[in-house]
Amino acid sequence: MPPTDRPQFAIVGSGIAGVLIAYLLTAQGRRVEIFERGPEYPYPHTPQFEDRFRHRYENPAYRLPFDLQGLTTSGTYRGDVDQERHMVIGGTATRWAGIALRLMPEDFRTKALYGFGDDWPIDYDDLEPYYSRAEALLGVSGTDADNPFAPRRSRPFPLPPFELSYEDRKFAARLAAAGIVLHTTPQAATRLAYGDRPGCQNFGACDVCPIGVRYSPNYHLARAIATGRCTIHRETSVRRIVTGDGGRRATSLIYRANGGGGDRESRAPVIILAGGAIENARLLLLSSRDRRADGVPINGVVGRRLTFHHLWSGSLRYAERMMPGRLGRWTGQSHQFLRPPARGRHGAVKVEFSANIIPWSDDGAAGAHDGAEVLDRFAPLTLRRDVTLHSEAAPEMRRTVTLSSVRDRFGDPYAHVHYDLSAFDEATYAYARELFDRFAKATGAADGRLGGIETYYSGGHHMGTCRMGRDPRDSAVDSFGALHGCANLFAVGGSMFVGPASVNPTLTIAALAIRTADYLARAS
Amino acid sequence: MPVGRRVTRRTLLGAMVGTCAAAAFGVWRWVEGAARHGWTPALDASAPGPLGDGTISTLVAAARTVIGRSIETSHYAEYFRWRAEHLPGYRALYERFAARIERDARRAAHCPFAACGAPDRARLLRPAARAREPRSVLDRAWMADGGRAWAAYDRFIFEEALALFAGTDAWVLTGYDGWPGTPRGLDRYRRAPD
Repeated sequence: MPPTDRPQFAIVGSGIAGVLIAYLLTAQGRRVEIFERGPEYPYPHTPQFEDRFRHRYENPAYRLPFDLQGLTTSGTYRGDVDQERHMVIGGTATRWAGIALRLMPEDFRTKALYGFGDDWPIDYDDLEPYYSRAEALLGVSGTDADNPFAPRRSRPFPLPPFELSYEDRKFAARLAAAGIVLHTTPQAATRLAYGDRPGCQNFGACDVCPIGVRYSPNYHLARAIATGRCTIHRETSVRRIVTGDGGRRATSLIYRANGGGGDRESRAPVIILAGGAIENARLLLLSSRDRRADGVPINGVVGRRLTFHHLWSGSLRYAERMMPGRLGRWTGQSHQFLRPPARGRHGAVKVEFSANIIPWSDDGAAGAHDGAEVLDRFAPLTLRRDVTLHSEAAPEMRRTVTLSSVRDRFGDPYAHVHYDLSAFDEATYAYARELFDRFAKATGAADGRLGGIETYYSGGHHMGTCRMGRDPRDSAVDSFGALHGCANLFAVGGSMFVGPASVNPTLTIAALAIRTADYLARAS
Repeated sequence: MPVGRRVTRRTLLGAMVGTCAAAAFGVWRWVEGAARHGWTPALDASAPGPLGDGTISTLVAAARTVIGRSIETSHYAEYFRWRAEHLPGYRALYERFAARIERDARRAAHCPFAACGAPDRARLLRPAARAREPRSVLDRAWMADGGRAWAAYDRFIFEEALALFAGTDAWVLTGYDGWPGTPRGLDRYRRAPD
C-alpha cells in the first residue's frame, strides 16, 4: 500500500461514536480504517423492517454467533446486558429509540454541587457547540418552547418537534393543574424532510425505520465510505492493541477475520476504540501490559465505575380509552425532575409519559384459540398509559467490567460484568415511586402498578469504565478520549462518561465524538 | 429359590397380575411420555420453494377460520408465501396440510375447504385444538401417532396466523386507524380517536 493510501486512523467499532469520527475525518481528507466484529446491517433498514413486519422473522444474519458475542455477569441486574448491545455494522444505535437529549449543566458538576459522583473535566459550555452540531448531523426534531427546564442552546433545533398526541394534551392539562409540566421529546427522527432524509410517515416501526427517518449511524458510514477514504473490515475481531516506546505509543492492532485465518496486524498512527463501555474496557484489559510486555499500560480505573441508567417502568389504567401507540415516535416527557431538591441524597429522574408506548406484541396471541381471544387481551391495553422513570445512578467502584473465565471463539476471555444497586439507588427508587404516584393522581388514573426496585433496566445505556479526567490516578482518558500515558490511543463513546445523569446518553456520545474528531483533525 | 420348588396357582396368579400391572404402567408411561415429547413439533429441513395458488387459498381460508373475524387476507397470503419460499420446512408442511384438509373437506363436507361453510371449516380444523390441549388418555395416545401432524399445523399455521392477526387486523378491530408497519401519517394521532 503506498504511504499516502495508508489509513491514518484505525477505529475499532462502527457504532455512532466511531462512525461520526470516521465521517468527519474522511470529510476532511483523512484516511480511516474501521474494524467491526458484527455483520452487515443494510441501510435504510428496509430489509430488517420487511423481516419484522411483513414476515415476522428474526433474521439470524443480523446476529453474531454466541461464540463471538457474549459476556458473563454477576450481581443483581436481571436484564440481558449482552443482548442490549447490537453488534452489527452501525452498532447499537442502529436500533435505538432516537431520544436525543442534552445533559444539564449541573450534570457535569455533581460532586461540586451535590456531593456525589465526580465532576467532568469539561462543562456544559465546552460541549454546547458540539451538541448543536450533533443535533444537525443526526437531524433532531424538537423544541424548547414547551420545556422550561431545557438547558441553554446556541442554535435552534434543526427540525420542529413531534407534537403531543390528543391524549397527551388532555394529560398535560391535568398535570399542569398539579404543577407538573409535560412537554415534547427531542429526538433524532426527521419530523419533516431533512436533506436527503424523508419526513416521518409514522410507520411505528422506529427501531427498523424503513425509510431512514430515525437516525442510524449507517447513514454517515455510507457517506464516509463514498469518499473512498474509509475502508471497513466487517466480521472482524480486534484481539489486542500493541504498543511500543515503553507503552507510550500504540503501534498496531491485532485482528482476525471471524470466519478464520490467522492473526493480522494493522498499523495506523492513531487507534480509536469505539466499541461501547463494555468492549472498550475489555479490549484494553486484553491488551494490558500485565498480560503482554508489548501491551497497553492501563491503570486501575479501566473497567471500574460501569454505570447504567436505572429505568423503572409502570403502567396506569384509566376509565377512558387512551389508545397508546397511534404514533410510533415519542411524545410526552417531563424534565422537571432532573434537578430535584434532594439531589445528592438520591438521583435525578426523567419521566417518560409518552403516547407511543403500547405494551403489545405478537406474543399477545400466544396460546390464544381464536381472534376473539386475541381481541379480549388487546382491549384493556387501550386503557393504559405506561410510565418510565429514567433514573440517575451514582458511579460506584464496585460495578465493574473485568475479564471472564469464559472465552470466545479465539480463546480470548469475554467481559465479565458485575452490577448491583446501592443505598443511593434505593433512595432514587423511592423518589421515582413518589413521582409515579403523583402522575397517577394528577392524571386521574383508576389504578397503577410500578415494578419493584429489582426490576431496574439499563435502557441499553452502558457508561463509564474508561472515564475521562485530568488526573491519571483516577481517570483513564482525557476529555478527548486519549489514554493517559499513551497519547495516540483513544477510547471514545459511553465509556468516557464520568456520570450518567438521567437523560439518554446518545446525543452526548455524539457530541463528544465530534469534539474528538475536531481534535484529531487539528492534530494530524 | 430352592431348585425344584413347586409354583402354586396363587403364586402364578399373583405373578400374572403383577406382570399385567407393570405392562399397563409401562404403556401408560409410554403414552404420557410420547405425548409430552410429541407436543413439541418441529419443522423438517426440506427445501423452501413456491406454493401453488390452491395451497395458499387453503391456508388463507384456514387462517380466516381460526381467527373468526373480518380480516384483510392479502397479508396472510403474503406471509405464507414468503415463509414457504424462504424458510426450510414450511413449504412441505403447508402442502401436507392443504392436501390433508382438502381430502377431509371433500370426504366430510363434499366441498373444497375454502368453499365450505364456516361451521364445516371449523369442524374440519377441530383436531388442531385437540392436539394443542389433549385431555384424555385417548387424546394422548392419538398425540403419540396421528395427532403429531395436527400439532405441527397448530403450531406453524394457526398460532402464527393468530400472531399475525395480533400484529395487524386486531389493531383495526380494536379501534386504531392502522397497525404498526403501515404509514399512518402524523395527523390522526393528534385528533380524537373515532
